[in-house]
Amino acid sequence: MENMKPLIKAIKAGYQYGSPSGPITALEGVDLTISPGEHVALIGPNGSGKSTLLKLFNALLYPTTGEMLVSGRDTSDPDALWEIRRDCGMVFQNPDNQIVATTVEEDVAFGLENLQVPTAEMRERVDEALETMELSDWAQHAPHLLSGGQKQRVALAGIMAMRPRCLLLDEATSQLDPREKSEVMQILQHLNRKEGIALINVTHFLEEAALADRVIVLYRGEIVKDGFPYTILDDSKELGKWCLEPPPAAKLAKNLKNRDAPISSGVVTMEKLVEQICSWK
Amino acid sequence: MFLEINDLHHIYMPGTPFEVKALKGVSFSVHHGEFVGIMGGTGSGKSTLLQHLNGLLEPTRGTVCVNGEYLGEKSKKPKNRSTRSLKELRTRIGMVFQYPEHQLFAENIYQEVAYGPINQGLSIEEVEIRVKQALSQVALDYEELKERSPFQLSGGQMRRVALAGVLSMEPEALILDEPTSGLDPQGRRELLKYVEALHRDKGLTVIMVTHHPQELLNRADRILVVHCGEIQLSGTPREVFSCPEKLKQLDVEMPAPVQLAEELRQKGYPLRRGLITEDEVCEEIVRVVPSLHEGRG
Repeated sequence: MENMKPLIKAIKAGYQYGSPSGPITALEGVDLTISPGEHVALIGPNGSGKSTLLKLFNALLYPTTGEMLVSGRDTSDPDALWEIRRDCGMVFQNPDNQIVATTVEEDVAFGLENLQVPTAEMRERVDEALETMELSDWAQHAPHLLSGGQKQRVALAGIMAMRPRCLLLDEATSQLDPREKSEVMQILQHLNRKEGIALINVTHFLEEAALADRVIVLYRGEIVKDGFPYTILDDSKELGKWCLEPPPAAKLAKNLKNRDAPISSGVVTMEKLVEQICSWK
Repeated sequence: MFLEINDLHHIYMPGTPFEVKALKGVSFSVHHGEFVGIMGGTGSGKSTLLQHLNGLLEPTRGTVCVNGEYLGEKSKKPKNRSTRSLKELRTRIGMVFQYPEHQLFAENIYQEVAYGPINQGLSIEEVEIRVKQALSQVALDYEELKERSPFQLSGGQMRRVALAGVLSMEPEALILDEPTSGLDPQGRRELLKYVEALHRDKGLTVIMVTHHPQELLNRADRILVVHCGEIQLSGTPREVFSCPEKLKQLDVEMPAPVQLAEELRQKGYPLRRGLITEDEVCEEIVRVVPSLHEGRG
């Protein structure tokens, strides 16, 4: 593991965008290494630079200062662009904004067509991606008539067909209902654990961040915290400084602790909380 | 009665292979000054329902009646309504769509918020008063912001400007479609605070669609749960959130305390039902769980 090349490496990366009143700094001095197969949650208030950082990861934006390397390649190198975007596929918030074709399978094949993958292989990869996303029965359907969760799975299937090393999720579950949300999260966690695909999840829902292996907090364009979910998401006082609040399970754990219940610190998921309550002596 | 909906049906693309029955006989009413929450999974029909409330869609069958006036040409109103009265209706019912900041268009914040009242035909002086008032209702500073472009604001502020653009028309009712989606926790809390104040202090009728039960828990008078084009569950937040099994079937999230209690029940702990707040559930857990464990030895 030690000599594994980092998936993403940011070296003093910053990003400024122009506005009529002068340049605005969205990100500053970001030093960051993400390894292959990691599941990272990127959290922070509105305007903290989360989405900008995510866009730097697949060269939708280039750092205006510093460097961004994906699989060892500089994102500002035009020759590396396609490989970088194949390695790191992005799923946006609104499924309607990322569907291009008239049937589900054509939509999933769109990226492969651009990569000029031979037809037979394309067929195979599309079918495989549809199966992973549990969409095989919908292959011939028109995507715009699907539910939000199904559409989001179509978008994910389109990326999976490109066989990426990493999925960049920009609030990808925020428009889904609870059932769809947990379906999509389950599939994503499966891809992460079983296939070693890295997940970088930008989310406002800290119960989702609690499922990650690592949480990175951005505030005013800088990384202010980087660590385990159970240490970061448990600290309501510190989260409050960044306009965030602990996930519901952590709040319940705290409430129980205040009633002298034997709950250890760092309980941030419902699963862990139930487990702890059931093991009270 | 502010709003009465009777046996409302809506069919998209009727008579084609793509025909979708989005609403199948929905009936409910909303009192003046009531705060009603609407929940339901994606594809449940809640957005279709919302669009009927200010005449953006016409019923395939059934009626929608706002303040005693029937909406839609196909309604059972003796004479067809003119577009003029529909326009008037839309100033009385302020519709705040999902991601309303995507609809911002004006050069500066004054023009943005003034757009509605100007189109209502108000005088320049009246418009200015409306703009000032509307911005203060969402805690934005008039002097500081009136000249600024709305596009230079943060996401949360842009959403408040969009809300002010609706409030400046002085509507009697606000219809909000997932007003907090995409906002950070602080932005969510603030937005809900303004909505709550408008409801409480100005007596606005509020109809709010949300996926997040905690947003309705201490605010809504009543919650309607829509599923497959029908209202499957309705009642006070306590009544609705006391049916965890039903909520699960209807693709509706339950408040975290309710979820915890339900999971513990499934593990065999006999927690009382009908507890919905954090304190209620935690108190019950502390009461029931240790004694049971002692009993087991």
